[in-house]
Amino acid sequence: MDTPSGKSAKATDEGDRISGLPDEVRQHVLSFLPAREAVRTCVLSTRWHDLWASVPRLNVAAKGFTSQSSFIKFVNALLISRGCIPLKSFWLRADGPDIFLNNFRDTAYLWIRYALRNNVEELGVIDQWTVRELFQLQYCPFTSSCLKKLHLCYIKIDDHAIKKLFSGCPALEDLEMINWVAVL
Amino acid sequence: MASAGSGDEKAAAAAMITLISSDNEKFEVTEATATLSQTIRHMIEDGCTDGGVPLPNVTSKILARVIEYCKKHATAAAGEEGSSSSFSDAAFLEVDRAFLEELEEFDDAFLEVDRATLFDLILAANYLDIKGLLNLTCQKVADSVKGKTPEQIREMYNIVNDLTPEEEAEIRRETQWAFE
Repeated sequence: MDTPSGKSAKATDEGDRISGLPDEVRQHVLSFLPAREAVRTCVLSTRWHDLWASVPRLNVAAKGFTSQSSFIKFVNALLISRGCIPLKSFWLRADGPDIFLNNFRDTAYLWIRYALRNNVEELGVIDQWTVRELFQLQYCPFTSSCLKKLHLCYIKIDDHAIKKLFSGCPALEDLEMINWVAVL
Repeated sequence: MASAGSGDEKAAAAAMITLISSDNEKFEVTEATATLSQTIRHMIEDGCTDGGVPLPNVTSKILARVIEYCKKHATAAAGEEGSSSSFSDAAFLEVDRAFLEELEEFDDAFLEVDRATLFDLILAANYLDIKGLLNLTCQKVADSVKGKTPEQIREMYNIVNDLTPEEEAEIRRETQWAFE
C-alpha cells in the first residue's frame, strides 16, 4: 500500500474506471445485459456512444415490453442498426406478457436468419407455454456452418425439419430441446 | 484415453510454476492451477516458464486473489473429469451437485470486494485470459447497472458525460427505439 504504484492505483480508483476498461471488456459487460439496456448505454459518454453496436452477444428478451408491437419494433430496429457484425451468441426470449413467437412467426424467422447469417455460434429460442399454437419451427431454414449450440424451448417441430437441421448445420455439437412438441 | 490421459494429468498436477507479480512477489502454483489462464498455458506450451512467469500488469494483492480463484476452479475441473470417467449413479450426482453449490458459494463470497479490486480483477482476468473469472466479474458489473437509467449509471461509476446536449439529443433521436 505504501508503494508508489499503490498510490497511483488509488488515484485512478476515484475516477471513471469502467470507461477505462478495454473496449472488448466493456462489450463483454454489455453482453450480460438485456439488449435494450445495452443499447441505452450509448448516451453515457463519447466512449460509450458506439460500443453497443459491436457487442457479439445479444440477449433479446420481451420482458419489460408492454406490447408485442413495441417488442417487434425494437428488435427490428436493433438488428437493422447493428448491421452485419459477427455474432457469437443470440438468445431470443418471448418472456413478456402475451408475447408469443408464433403470432409473428415470419418476423421471428427473419431474426433467426439474421443471427445465422452473422455466423452465430450459440442460438437460443425460448417461447413460453400457450394453449394456442406453439412457435412452429419446421418452416425455418436452419443452415449454418458456424452454429455449434442450439437451445430450443416451447417450440413445435417435425422429424423432417430436425433431419434438415442436422444436415444444414454440420458444426452443431450441442442441441437442447425442452418442452417441445413434435408435429405428426 | 483412460490410463495415458490420467497419467499425464498427474504429471501436470505435480509440476509447479512460479508466477511473479508486478511488485516482485513470487507465487508457486501447480500447473493445473496456472493453466486456467490461457495466457500462461500458451507460455508453458512454448516452454518459456523456466525462471518464473513475470506478470508486470498484476500486483501481488490481485494475483493472490486470482490464484485463490484458479485453485478452487482447477479442483472443480479435476472433479468433473473424475466424475464423467468413473460412475454416475444418483449418489455420485448428489456429491457433484453439492460441489457445484459449494463452488457457487465460493464465487459469491469471492465477489465481495470493493469496486477498485473488482476492476483490478477484471483487468487481470482479461490479461491472463481466464474465461470463468472474466465472466464472473463482468457479470457482477452488469448486474450492478441492470435496471438503472443512464444518469444513475454515470453517477454510480463516476462517468463524466462529455457529450454536448446537442450530441446527446441526436444520439437519443437515432436510438429512440431503445428508449421508448
